[in-house]
Amino acid sequence: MKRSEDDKKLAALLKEECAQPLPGQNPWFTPRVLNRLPERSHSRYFLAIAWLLAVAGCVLTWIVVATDFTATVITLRDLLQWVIMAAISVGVFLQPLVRLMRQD
Amino acid sequence: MRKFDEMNLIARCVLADDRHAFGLLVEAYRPRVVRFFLNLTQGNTAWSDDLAQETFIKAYLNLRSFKGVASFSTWLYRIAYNEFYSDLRRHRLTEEIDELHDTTASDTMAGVEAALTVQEAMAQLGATERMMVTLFYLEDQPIKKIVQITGLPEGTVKSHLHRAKQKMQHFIDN
Repeated sequence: MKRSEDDKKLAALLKEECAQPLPGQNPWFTPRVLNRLPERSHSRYFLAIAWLLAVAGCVLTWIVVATDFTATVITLRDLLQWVIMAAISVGVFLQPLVRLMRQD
Repeated sequence: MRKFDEMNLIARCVLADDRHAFGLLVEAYRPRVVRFFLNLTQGNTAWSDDLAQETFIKAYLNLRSFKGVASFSTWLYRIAYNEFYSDLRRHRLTEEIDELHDTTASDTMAGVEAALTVQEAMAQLGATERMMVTLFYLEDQPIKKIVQITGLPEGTVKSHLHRAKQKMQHFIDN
């Protein structure tokens, strides 16, 4: 809807006669709001540290497996081991993303 | 505040629970939010401050649900809109509306007639109509944004505005 001339006149009249001015400085407002916010949850820091450790563990395991693998033939056991490791790694890497999506 | 800075502050709040970043957002938007409530409550400073505080607290608690589809200010106005109605519903409906009428009546004594006619005309409006007039005429929000803020269909917003204009016109003519 475009503003008609009447709308513009009415807006000007309302602003002149009954619009409230922008409030001035209020140094207490923001601290009061911040004080009323819920306590910080520390569990997120522990979760972040646990996640970083898990990622480091995954990376280390992959390095160890890659450097130790010298066989010329890939057995079913090797394949199964890699699939399981890949699944665990993907799970660990995607865990924060899944948590974010759940919170939404 | 530039959009990039705003998004940066929001990201800091969401990802790192950065209270300082949220404080900066509050500082940036406090004047507009408080004035919005002052217009709705016709200058009741204490009530407006309370409503603004609640709005910012709710904004913080729901910041993760802000997708960035609408602008942050529109999203904040929507919270403010809901907060105003919740508060009206909760406990203040009767007493505050009485106060509004009292204020206008006592101001009449002061003899500021022109301003008073318009203020009284505003006071005649229902809460929803006053909200629409505030958003459209005083906050200069386009209809599209009012639809996003209120969640009402465009036709309903327009008819509220039309009815509000008619009521005010009728009051001023008489």
